[in-house]
Amino acid sequence: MGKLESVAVTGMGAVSAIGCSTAETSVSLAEGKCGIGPVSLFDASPYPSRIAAEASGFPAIPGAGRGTALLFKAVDEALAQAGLSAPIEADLVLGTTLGGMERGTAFMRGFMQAPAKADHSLLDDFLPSCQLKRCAGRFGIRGFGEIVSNACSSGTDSIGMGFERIRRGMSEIVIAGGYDPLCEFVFAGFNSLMVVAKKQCRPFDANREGMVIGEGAAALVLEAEEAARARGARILGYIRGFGAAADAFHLTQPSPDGRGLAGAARAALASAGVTPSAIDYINLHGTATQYNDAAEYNSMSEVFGPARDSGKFDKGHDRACSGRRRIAGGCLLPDCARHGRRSAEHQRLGR
Amino acid sequence: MIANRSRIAITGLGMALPLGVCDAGAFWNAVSGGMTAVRTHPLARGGETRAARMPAWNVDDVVDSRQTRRMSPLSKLAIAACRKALDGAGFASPPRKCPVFFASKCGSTEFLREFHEGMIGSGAGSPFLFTNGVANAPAGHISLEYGIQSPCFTLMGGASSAVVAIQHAAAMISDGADAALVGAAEELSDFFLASRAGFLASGSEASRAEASPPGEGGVFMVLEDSRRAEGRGAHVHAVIDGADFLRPDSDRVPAPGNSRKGQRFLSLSATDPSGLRAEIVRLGFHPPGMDGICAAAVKFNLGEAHAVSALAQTAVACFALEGSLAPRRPDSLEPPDGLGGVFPAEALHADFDSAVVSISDGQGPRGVVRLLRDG
Repeated sequence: MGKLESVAVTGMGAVSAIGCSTAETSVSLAEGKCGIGPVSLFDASPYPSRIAAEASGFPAIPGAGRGTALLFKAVDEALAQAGLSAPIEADLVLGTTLGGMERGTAFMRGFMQAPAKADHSLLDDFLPSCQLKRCAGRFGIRGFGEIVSNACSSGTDSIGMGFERIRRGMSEIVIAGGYDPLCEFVFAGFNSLMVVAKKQCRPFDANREGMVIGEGAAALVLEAEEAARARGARILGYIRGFGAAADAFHLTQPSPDGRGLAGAARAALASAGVTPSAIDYINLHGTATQYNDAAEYNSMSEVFGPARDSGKFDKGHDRACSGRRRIAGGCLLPDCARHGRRSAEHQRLGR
Repeated sequence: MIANRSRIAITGLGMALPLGVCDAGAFWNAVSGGMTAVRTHPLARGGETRAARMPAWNVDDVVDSRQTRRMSPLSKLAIAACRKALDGAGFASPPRKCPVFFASKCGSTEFLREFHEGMIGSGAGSPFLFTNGVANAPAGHISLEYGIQSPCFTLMGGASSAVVAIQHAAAMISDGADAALVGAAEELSDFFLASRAGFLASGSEASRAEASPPGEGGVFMVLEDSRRAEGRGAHVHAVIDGADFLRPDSDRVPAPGNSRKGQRFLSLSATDPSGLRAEIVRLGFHPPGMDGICAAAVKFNLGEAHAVSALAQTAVACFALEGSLAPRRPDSLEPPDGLGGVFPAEALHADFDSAVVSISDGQGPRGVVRLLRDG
């Protein structure tokens, strides 16, 4: 392999149930604010769980879905911080689970009732590729675009893909992010799997009862360090390594021994060229399901050693409130660290 | 670009397509003979549409697995193509380090529709339909079927996902992966075709970009380091010389195999004469001076299926290089003025040394994959 570029983070944006910007989210994390409440976006009465973490305070986009609006808010903030404006010579890699599915559900309702009268304009912002094109068009992003759809790891994997592209010289700037709006489809789906909490989300708690579905978007501007310095960009942090793996165990359940996650963590450490002892903070998925948390605990213990005395299992409160936003916690880490803040909550690990 | 030092070989090509179904040889015979799978199909609630749909087929004829009964039509297409690619590469199961890059722009619309029926009707969607209906289910099934613990990426960007997949697969092979699986699938359900017809009738800008007859199917390739392939005696269909994105301001792309002087094959993606001419110019050629160049446009054979089309184009280019044969153009393909010889009216033997696969979607060119004949 040839010379590898150092990858810098020069912009961040986030919107979620606990903040409409990275600054708001950072404060909310430090204060231990919880964004969970009753579902207001659709009728949740048919479902066992009726709570979710809904975002608010972001502008709607005429003719577009909630996912696009969330995405625009996060990307707008990230680009502003990075000092980038149209035309932007950058690539765009976005992660999402279901894209504009709330528009798909609205279309499906109409189609099932009266196909001829269904509102086909809803399909203009249904598939993830629709949000990708809209985002590139709105912000004048002229490079290539890609959607990563790896379920809950989509956002992290989009950052990883952006990181690898810059590191290998395939891209100079990558806007990497993730977005997923709350919609009845995903709510019904996780309810059907019987993995949702009815009252509270308690990751790694011995009495945890499941996840709470949330929504949000987050974006990072990633750049080759040398190029970022050349244009005078402020560097917020660096991405040093990335790892991904599958566990080949089950379509929805993680392997109890956490071998997939352990493999990903080892790959990330190898990619960064560091040992486990170099790591000060780990931001986990922490869905608060029985299977996930046990598998994560086992995998982290295997890679980093027993956790009880290490202090390595610090979690962003957003993880407790909105388990599906993997990116936001990670991108806020540099911000929290710079301001000397840490997220307020340490929960006792209970397997 | 492919940022690595490895020479990447294509050692497996597997497909589940409307032409040839799961038989690569039958597929090439059909394409080289100018056949097309695009037909007129009646819509479930009235009207008709043009599309290239799979004939009746049974995934269990290809994959011996209890998993298949739970799979969406999309996953069945994907895993059948994957199995065939592995067979072609001489792998009973993938080697230990084998990442998967799977692309599908639309996912499983049939399972999503069925889940919605349950959800909207009774508030009780099926967990089986939910987990098997999400876009990354095919990659998950492939991981499960073959015990793959390497990264599995599902990409939904459209045709250009094929370029991303090849670039990143090549990079991982360069980093030490034993091989990589690169594939794509799209399914056409009655619901998809009916809703698409309404979408097209809406006349929106987005709908105009989707106007070509759609297709369905699955294609997978096995990529590996050419020295490793040689070492285990694997057959090499072609060597990848590069994979690039086209930037808006780059009106030319590097030609493949600059050191070689042989004839070139172009595997194009446009679906009308003016688009074909523009694509040829974009690749750096100057019509009508096209001596030594032959081209094919597989979407006339198989419809528009996004990354599936891109990988089918790549497969056609491999077969053209290997067989020294340019396919006969389908009757529906009207060549651009003065370029009739580039799209042969009969299958034409030619000593191709290199090929360019031009990848585009309804909004124009997106990328290229450059191939060299092995040896």
